[in-house]
Amino acid sequence: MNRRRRRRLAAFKTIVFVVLGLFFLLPIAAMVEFATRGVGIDSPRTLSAFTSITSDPELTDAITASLELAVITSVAMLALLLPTMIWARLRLPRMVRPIEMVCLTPLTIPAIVLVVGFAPIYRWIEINVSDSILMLAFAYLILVLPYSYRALDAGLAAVDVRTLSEAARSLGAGWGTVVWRVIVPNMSSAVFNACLLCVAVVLGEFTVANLLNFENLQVAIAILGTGNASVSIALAVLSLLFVFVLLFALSFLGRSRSRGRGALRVVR
Amino acid sequence: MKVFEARPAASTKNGSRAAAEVRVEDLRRQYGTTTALDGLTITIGAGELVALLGPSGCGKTTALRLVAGLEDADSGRVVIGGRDVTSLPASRRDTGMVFQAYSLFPHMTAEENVAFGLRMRKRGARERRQRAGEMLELVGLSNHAGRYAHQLSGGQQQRVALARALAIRPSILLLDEPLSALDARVRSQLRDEIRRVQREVGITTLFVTHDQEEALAIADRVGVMRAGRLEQMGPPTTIYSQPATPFVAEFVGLTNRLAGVVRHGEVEVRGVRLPLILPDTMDGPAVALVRPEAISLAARPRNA
Repeated sequence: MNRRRRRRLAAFKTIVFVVLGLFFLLPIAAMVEFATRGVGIDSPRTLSAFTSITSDPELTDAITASLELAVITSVAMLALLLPTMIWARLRLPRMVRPIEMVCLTPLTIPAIVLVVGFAPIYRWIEINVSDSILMLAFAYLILVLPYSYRALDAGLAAVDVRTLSEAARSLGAGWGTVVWRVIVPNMSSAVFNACLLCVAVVLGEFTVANLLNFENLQVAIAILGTGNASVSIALAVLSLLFVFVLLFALSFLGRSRSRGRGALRVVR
Repeated sequence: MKVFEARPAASTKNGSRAAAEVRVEDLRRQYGTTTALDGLTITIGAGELVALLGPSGCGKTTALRLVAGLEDADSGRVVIGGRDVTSLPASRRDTGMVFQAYSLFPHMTAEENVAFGLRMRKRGARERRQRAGEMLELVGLSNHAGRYAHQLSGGQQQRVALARALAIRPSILLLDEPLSALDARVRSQLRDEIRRVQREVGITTLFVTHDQEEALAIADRVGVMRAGRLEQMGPPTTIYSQPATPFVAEFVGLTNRLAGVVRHGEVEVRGVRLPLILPDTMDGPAVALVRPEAISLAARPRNA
C-alpha cells in the first residue's frame, strides 16, 4: 500500500516535471530552431542571426542600456530599501505595515496605468534633467519594489536586527556601520535574491520603456521583430539564457554562503 | 586628541580605564501612559557591582538601557566618571554591554567579535589581535577564537559577549539578564565566572536580573525595584535580613505571613515576642513577615 502510494507519487512528480519542462523548453527550442534557419528553403542551418546581433549598433546600445539600468536599479533599490526597512524595524515598528503596503502597491497597478502617471513626470525630466534612457531607472525602481521588498523582508526576519544593532552601537558603531557591516552581511542571500529579481524585472521590461519611447532591450527586440524576425528571436533566446544563467549563478552563490554559516545555525 | 586616550596608571592588567563612578539622577521615562521609570537615582561606586532586582515591568531593564544610551530619558541625568553623557548616543558612551539574547555577530569569528569594538575605535590590527586574545583568555575561551557563534554553546557565546564588551575598556559594564537564556547548571557557573572577571578587571558594573538568587550571590549591593522606583538599596545581607518595605521582604527570599500584635516596639506572634525591623511601627494588630529559618518547630513537652 505504502510502496504503491510512493511509486504513484514518484510517477506524478515525473509527469509534472516533464509537462512543465516541455512547457518551458518547447518555445525556447522552437525559438532556437527558428533563429538558426537559413534564408532559402533548403539552405543549411546558420548562426548568422546570432552573430549579426553584435554588428547592429542600435541593438548593442539597447543591450548596454538595459544592463546599465539593471545595475543602477539594483543599487538604488538597495540604497533605498535596506536602510528604510532596518530603520523602520528598529525605530518605527508601527510604520512597518504601511511601508510594506506602499512597496507592494506597484503589483496591483497595471503597467499601462503606471505609465499614464509617469508620462507627465518624464516629459518634465526629459526637458529639465536629461533625456538619457538611464532615467528609466526611476520608473524601474518603483516596478521592482514589491519583489525586492519581499526578498529583503524574508532576510530581515531571520536576523535579530534589534539585538545585533544595539550590540554594535554600544561597541561604538555608527548607523552606517550597523547597516552595512553588521546587518547586511547576515542577510547576504536575501540581498542577492532581491538583486536577482531586480535584474530579471529590468531586463524583461517592455511596456513602460515602449510607452515612454525609450529603446531598451525588449523594445529593441520588438522593433527588430518587425524587420528581421530571426535576429529578434535570437536575441530573445540569448536574453532568456542570460537571465537563467544569472539566476542559477546567484542561487548557487547564495546557497553556498548559507551552507558555510547560516545552515548550521538552523540545524542546531 | 591622543592626550585624552592615554591610559591612566591605575588601570589593571586586563583593565578598564581606572574604574569610574556612575551616577543616575532622577531618571524618568514614560511609554505612552505607562511609567517605566519614575525618578530613579542610583550611585554606583568605582569598581562596584550593583544588581537591579525586580519583577518584570519594574523598570530595571529600562534603567540599564538609559545608561547605555539605547533609549532616551524623558528627564534626568546619567553621569559616567564625572562626565554627563545624557545627550550622547550609545556609540559614544563607552559602555560595554552583554544582552539577554545571544548577540554575537553571526558572520564573524569569536575573535573578530571581540575585536569589533577596537576596530570601531580605529586601533591597529596588531593591537586588536593582542587585546582580543587577552580577553578570550580572560573568559577561558582562547582555543575557540576561530569559531563562529553557531559553533559555540549558549554559555560560551555569552562569555565571548562578555569578552567583547570588556575589550573596549569601557567605563561601565552593563549586564542585561545575561544568564536568562541558559540552563540552570551553566547559569550558576557563568554567574561566578562573571563575578571573577568583574573583580579581576575591577570594572564598575550594573547587573539587571529578575532572579534574586543571582543578585544576592554576586552583587556588592542590590537595588530592589518596583513600578519604576527603587524600593531599597543595600548589601545583599541587609536586603535579606532588614527589608525596608513589605514588598522587598516578600520579593526577596521566602516569608511566612503571620497575624500578630505590635506593642512597645515588639511584635507578639502566637505568644512569642519578636523584635521589629522597622522600629517605628504603630501599635496594634499587624501582619508579621517571618523568615522560615527564624522559626523552629519542636515537639510540645509531654508534661505541658
